Amino acid sequence: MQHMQDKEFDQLFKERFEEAEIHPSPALWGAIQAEITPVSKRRAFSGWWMAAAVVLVGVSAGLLFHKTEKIQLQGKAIVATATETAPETIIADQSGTVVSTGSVLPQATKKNNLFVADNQPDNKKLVVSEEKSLITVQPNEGLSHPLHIGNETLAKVDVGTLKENTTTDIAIAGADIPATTVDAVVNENDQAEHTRIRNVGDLINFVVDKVDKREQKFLQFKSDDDDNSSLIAINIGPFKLNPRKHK
Amino acid sequence: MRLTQNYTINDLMEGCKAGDRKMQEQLYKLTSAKMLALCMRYAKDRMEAEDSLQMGYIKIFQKVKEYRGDGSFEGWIRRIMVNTAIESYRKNIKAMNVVPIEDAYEQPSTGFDFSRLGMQDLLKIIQKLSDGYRMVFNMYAIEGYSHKEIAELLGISEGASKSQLSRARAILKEEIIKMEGINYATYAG
Repeated sequence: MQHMQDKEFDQLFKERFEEAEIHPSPALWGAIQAEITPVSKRRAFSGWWMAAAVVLVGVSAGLLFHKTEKIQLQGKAIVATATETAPETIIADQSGTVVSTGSVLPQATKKNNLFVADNQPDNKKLVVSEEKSLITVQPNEGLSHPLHIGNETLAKVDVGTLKENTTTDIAIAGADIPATTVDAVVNENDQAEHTRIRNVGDLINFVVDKVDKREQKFLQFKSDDDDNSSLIAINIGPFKLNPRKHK
Repeated sequence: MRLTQNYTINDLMEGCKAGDRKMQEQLYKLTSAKMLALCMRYAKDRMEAEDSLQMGYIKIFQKVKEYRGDGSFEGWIRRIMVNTAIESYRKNIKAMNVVPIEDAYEQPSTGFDFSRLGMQDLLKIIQKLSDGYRMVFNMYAIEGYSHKEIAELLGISEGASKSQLSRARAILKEEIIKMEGINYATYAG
């Protein structure tokens, strides 16, 4: 092989490379995969993010409403504690005064006109009132449901005791307790006014504010006094809409 | 390759046409090592070769629907890889616009023993060639393009293709002799 023919020379190279294999670095497939993902799929993905954001807002709104309900119930619960203390006063002055903690609250008066009457130091009645106290202890822990049970039993007691009821004096001990509960309810009403949620935009802003602590919220609404709200800013990852700076 | 024994390359081709992600990955696993070896011949180094490989596969998955079954599917893949290498070469040459001159014109007088030279050795000397020589040598000697085709694809004259090929061969032979010398030295030493 003094002077190798060009064809032979080329052929030798060709043979060497015919079945040649060099394995690419493992990360390369990932890079290729990222590039061949269709754009429409990526958009669909961000659509899922939008859907997730909507669901989040919905759930948060639901929780918010749920919370306001709880606030009302807490007001009742305070009334329940008032009635709970009432039996103690009965035991304290067994002289035969009528103890009635008629609730002064506007919401509570509908349901909770609780009359704990016991004008005779009868053993029977005392036992009943003690049972009552046992039942009425519950509303402190559970909120609305146990209260109803309490009301029912109390109502039954009312029927029995009101017949013997001759005086309608307001209890000495219970007098100041309703006063405090009224205060509490008034305070809650104040708080409700402070939030000033007039429309859906306000509501969503409120929820978003609770959830998203960034300066640019993922959803932001502008609301004016005419109860109209309009979307002014969105910030969901890569997709941002903020036509003007808004604080 | 063992994993993909269940699929023929045509199954993979059909899967890729349907946009099946798993089939695309299988095709990649089955062919990428061969294709990287190809890209390495056209590139200066591994990094350049892997860039080229990546671009080539993206093209393959985008254009697979256009494959009508003329010639083998692997041949089609190979062609796309070569075209990708040519494209990036042409882009680079526009950027540099440099025609390298290499004075390795004399034919080496001694013969050489190819049996001791592995693919990696040959790859090393091919990568040492200047870009234009490397393109022409690869396309003509290994891929089997004609000078006419090379001239069209690289945007040069047929004569330039021929002269670049013979220069490339001369440089390669010289490099092989150098390598042989080193090999002899190590065997002797």
